[in-house]
Amino acid sequence: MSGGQDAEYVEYVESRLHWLRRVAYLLCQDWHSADELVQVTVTRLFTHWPRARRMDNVDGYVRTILLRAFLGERRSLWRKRVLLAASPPEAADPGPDRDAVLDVRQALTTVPPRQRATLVLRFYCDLDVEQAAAALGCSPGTVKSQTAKGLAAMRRVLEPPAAARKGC
Amino acid sequence: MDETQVRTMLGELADTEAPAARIDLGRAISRGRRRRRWRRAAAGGSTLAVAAVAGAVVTLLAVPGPGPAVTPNGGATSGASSAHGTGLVAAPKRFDPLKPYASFGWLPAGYTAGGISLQPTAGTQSIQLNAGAASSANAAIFLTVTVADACTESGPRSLPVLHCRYDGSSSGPIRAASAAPPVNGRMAFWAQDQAKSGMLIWEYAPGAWSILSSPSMRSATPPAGLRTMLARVAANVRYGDRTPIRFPFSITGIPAGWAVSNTEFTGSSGQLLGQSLSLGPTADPGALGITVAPATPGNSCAFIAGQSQHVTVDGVRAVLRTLSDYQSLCATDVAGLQVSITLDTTVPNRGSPLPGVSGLGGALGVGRALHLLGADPANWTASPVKSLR
Repeated sequence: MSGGQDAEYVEYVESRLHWLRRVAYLLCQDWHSADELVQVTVTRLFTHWPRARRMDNVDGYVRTILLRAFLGERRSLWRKRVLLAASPPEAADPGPDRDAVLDVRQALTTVPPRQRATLVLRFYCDLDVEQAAAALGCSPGTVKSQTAKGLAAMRRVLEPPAAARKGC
Repeated sequence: MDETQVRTMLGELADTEAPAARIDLGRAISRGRRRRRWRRAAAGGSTLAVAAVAGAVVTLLAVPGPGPAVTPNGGATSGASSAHGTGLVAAPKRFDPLKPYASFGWLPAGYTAGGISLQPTAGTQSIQLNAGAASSANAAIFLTVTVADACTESGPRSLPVLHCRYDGSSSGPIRAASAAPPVNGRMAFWAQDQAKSGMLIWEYAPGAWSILSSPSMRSATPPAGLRTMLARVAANVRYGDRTPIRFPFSITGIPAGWAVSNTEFTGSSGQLLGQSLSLGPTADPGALGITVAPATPGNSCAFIAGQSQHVTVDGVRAVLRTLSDYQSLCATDVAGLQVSITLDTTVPNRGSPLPGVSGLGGALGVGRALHLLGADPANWTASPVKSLR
């Protein structure tokens, strides 16, 4: 890869780092794991950068790399790195509305990884059903069912069962 | 909690103050370079050497990713029948969730077949197949195959409007915009749905439709290259496939009257490897969900104070969560596997006990009745559910 392409790569990653870390954090639920996931993602992006830089939708490509790394396509490699770098997960500073944010974070931890990825794609990345299905490598019907299940799992934590059922 | 609230909540969570990033771009570049060199060397080296290195990173369960791209003459399975040349005489009234009915017979270079999902609906069913390529986020193909009479037609037969129930709800009208070349002798159309997404639809058997779409197809008049590609995919869809899905687990003691309603799996038509299934009575077809998959890095079982407790099931540590109408059992590392069991204990929206659920012994009882079959797919089963008589 030429020096010019290296510079392009660095410029691209630096401009997207904030976004990538946010998406990874929603998936992983702690910043340590999120950064490990982003590290794997940008390493893999560099490997494919000569091709990726010519794509119409580089962001979509990177998002797919990140998702598939999270969901285990590279599970053994990533796991090995996580273990090598293991240190106690640090608590994020949720800011002023701490309780509400912690509730949402706890609710998200109850959602299985694939459903969590679906929720993040649909409601944070604003992808439609077909785009989410393409990113996840599944059918639109699966995206719909995973979305419904993921939302139900979050409601079980965020909405008291009695209130949810009886409307009080 | 509606979808708008979820968007807001996720946005707020993502905006929490982050610690300093630990991303090392220099390390990414040096490792990326090594990987590129390795890839080049591997491409020029011996097949055996590549296989040996690749084998070193296979996880315990060794569930392969999406299978290799299939070709017109490849990927055929025993029992699969191609509709090539003629339309089928009749479509089934129901699909068997444990034996997918259709598969891709051909995909463009770079595409690989993904899983299939089956969508049980009120009175009908469909299956959805997907395939994708790493070259672009939009490089995906989706195929929906309906049972007979899942769609009703209106308008002229030469340019029909379809109203289908194929994914748990009405599709909304799918309007044919122009005739497409017949697929295996059956009428076909370029069409679009209410969202103006384009698709190729064809009647693969009398009263039964196949619907092929792609995120790249934003109108009913796709570019010529995309038209040609989709037409070829359509012409090579195989119907009547009876290849069973093989699961890494079996479950005993399922109440009589409960049936499998949905399955998820990976692999191409040659070998279908199950990861999860849902089953239940008519009142709640997905009441019991079982997922067994390779352990995911960073994953943990949620522990909710007041709802969760640590338990040990046959020597395995797990987290049991108990609500008034729902239970779950989660174990993140059972010899390299993660197990998730979810169980509705009451009829949704009614609150009455779910028929047959009392005999299961809750999610803990399901966990005790779950038998893991190890890492080798050769030992997996095509009959994962043993019901009580």
